Amino acid sequence: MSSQEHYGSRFPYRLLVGVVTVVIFFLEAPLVILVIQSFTAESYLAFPPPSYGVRWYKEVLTSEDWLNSISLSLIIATIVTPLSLIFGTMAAFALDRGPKKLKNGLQAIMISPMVLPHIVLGLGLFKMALELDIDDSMLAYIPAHLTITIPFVIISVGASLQTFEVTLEEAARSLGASRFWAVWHITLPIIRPGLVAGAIFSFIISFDEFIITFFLTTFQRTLPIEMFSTLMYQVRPSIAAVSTLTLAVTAFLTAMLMLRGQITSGNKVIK
Amino acid sequence: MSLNSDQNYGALWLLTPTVLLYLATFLFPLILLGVLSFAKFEASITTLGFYFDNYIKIFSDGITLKIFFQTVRLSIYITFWCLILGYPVALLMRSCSPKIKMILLFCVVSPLLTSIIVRNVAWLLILGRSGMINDTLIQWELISKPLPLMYNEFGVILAVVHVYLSFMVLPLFGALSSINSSIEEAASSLGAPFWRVFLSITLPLSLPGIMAGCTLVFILSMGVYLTPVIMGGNFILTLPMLITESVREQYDWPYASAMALMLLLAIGFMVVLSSGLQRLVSRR
Amino acid sequence: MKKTIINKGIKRRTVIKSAIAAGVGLSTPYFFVQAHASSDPKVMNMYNFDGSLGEFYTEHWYKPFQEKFDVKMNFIKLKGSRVPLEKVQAQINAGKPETDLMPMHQDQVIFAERNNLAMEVDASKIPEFSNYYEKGITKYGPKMVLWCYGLAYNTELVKPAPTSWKVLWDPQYAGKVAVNEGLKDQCLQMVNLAWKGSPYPVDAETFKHLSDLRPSLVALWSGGADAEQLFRNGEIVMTPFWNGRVTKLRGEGLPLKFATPTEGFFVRSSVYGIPRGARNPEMAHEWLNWVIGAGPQKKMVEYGYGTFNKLVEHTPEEAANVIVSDPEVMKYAVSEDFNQILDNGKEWTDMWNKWKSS
Repeated sequence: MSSQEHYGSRFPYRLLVGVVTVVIFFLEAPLVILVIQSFTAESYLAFPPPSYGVRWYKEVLTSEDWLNSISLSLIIATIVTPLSLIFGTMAAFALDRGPKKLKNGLQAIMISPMVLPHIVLGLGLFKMALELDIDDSMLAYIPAHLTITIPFVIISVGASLQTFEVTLEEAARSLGASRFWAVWHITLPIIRPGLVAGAIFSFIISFDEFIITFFLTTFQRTLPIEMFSTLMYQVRPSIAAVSTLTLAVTAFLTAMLMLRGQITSGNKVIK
Repeated sequence: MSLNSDQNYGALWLLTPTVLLYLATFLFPLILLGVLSFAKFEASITTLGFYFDNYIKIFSDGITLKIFFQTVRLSIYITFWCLILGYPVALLMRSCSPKIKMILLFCVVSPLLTSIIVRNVAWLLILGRSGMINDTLIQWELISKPLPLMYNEFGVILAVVHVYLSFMVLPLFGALSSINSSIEEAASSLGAPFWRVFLSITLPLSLPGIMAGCTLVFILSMGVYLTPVIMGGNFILTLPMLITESVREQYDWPYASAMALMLLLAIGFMVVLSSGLQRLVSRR
Repeated sequence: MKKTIINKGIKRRTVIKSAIAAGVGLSTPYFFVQAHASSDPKVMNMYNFDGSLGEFYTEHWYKPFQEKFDVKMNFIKLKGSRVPLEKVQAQINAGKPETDLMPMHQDQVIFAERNNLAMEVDASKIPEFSNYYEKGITKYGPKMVLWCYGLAYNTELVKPAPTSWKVLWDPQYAGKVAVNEGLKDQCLQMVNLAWKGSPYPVDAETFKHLSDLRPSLVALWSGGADAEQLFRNGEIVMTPFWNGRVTKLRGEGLPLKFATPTEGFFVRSSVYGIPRGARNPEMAHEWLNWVIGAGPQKKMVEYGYGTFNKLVEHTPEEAANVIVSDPEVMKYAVSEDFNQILDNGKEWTDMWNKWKSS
């Protein structure tokens, strides 16, 4: 720790802090404005709002449509996140530990769903769901969302694995630990930042997914669909209120994951 | 390199769950896409078969290719700005206290937590002709006419960078925090100035992170759809917009499929290229 | 140190486990819900719109029908104003359209006809057709909800009241106007009307006039909500627009008015058709017959859209809003060729995109 401060003092720390402050301002300004606007008492969005109130929160929290769509989205994301973490981490291990000469090709294949435009993936999945008679149900949403979240887990866990020194695991095994024990107690804690990043991405991407789900749903509506259809008709402050609410929920979950993941201690656990 | 650099085919069984999933959810749509891309769409009717019309059109209509390259250019700009803005953040995150690190990380991820649509509405109120910035500048009499801050390429890049910055910062931070700081300490205790330490140690060692982040942001930017629609005032066209338009307005799946396959091919090429480079870098 | 790692391991496991348990528990009701699989003769599936138009439909077109006939309707809210035919086509071909009725734009009707997506209605089951103007009846169902594409302007900032599309090109409004990208076929035909006197053909000359307009344009807006926001933010004072939305905005206090330029304007409507393979066509017919009656149609006129029902009377204010009931104004209405619009869609889009990226 002290060594870092030593290094830090040598670096033009102030300049760095200055630049980062500007970047953070750029990142947060729209969100702050959004939150402020959600408290408008008017029936349209303007900044700053002419008058304030919680009118739109009342509307959202008493509207069955909004509440249903929020809970559906939360449920999907909650199921998708752990599954995608498990699938993705396994795949990342396979890529990292498998034959080196196959790695590039396999990696490209494993993350390729990420690059397929969602509208196209949506159509394909939709036609399949129609055939299997599972459209408009979880049995369609979850595999569809997994397909687009797993690549993110593979990338973030893969990046952590790349910097992980396999010798640590080998040492444990040479002392008699099983491979599973070694991975579970040594590797996973060290690559925790990668796992946490993967989980956050999975949750958010699933929560915000629009086009694919749009194809698969009929009567059920996820939050992005509800928002989009509201917006298509009119930009109402209820959108800002819903966004602020979901911002609060997802921010809380993300913060929890980050704290659990101890992303800040990172690979210092062993050192 | 490590003890298990033997050709470990056994590890590949770990791919099974994902591969099985992809067979159903990815390979099937892909095959469908391939089949559709060779179909013919005439007078609103799709005829399956083996026609090259769609591919010929892509290369001959004088607009699809142009928009493809425009999308590539836009993605390069976005990636560049993500790197420029993201690197300092990752650098600071590495060398500050855990608490600050957490806060910074949270700030970086936070734009992702709001819906893409809503975020763009917020930008409208800031950057619009009578948005906050223009209003303030006019009030201070710094400008007489509103600046065109959105409905152009600038607006699109700004809004996309805003949300994709996190995809740059996380891999960068991962790479930076895995650098053993004792090397840098040694260099600086030997009297090397900070920029020298940065250029010859920190930057090269963080290259895998830079590569990973740039690849991720570039790929995602190639697929960006809703933001250019809203922030570009529809003046900025990207290939995903063209694909969506073809499906939504003309119901022309065959042409859309051909364009999508082309996009996929181009991006696949990028991924292979970058993972090749990444391996080159990590070998050093 | 070892101990802490193990502890964390257990906690991680607990977290994952409880997350899975909670997810499975909460989501069971969502797994096999398939409302559209039911073929109960007392249940009908239908689209609805969002916002105040959706509220109107619910209040005046859906609720009273359900009460009167003691039936149940399930609703799918549309995202925007168009039925997503790119999706519905696949459903119909798989033998299970999601609804029993679909409001189609006129180009969609032609697409549906060519791809055999809609059933022909049985006119003997719709006796109310006798009170309907002939041109409001098609073999796939009645035309309803008439709306116009004209010029919306801010009455405080645009003086005198415009009577020509050419005012969009007027330098004094440069940087304060926009045109639509959504339904761009109307925009292209509008340019032709303004400068060539006839909506067709869309050609290089059309785009030359659009290029002249381009420096003045704030944006090409996609949907009504975008244009509304542009007006509210004061970014534009004038744009080609739809009369229903102007009526609504004026009701909300915006100083807007709808003009029908003398070079011509367009009137469109939706055909309410029954998808092939619909589960409950009987009730669909019943609803159509009920809704085109004078009562429900009068409600639509009060809301701001026109009707083909001969029996509906208009107050002067309603007539001004719906436009179509006034023969004096209607003599400027120009009819559109929807076959041409559908068939040239791709070509026009290519030209449009080339223009945009030039």
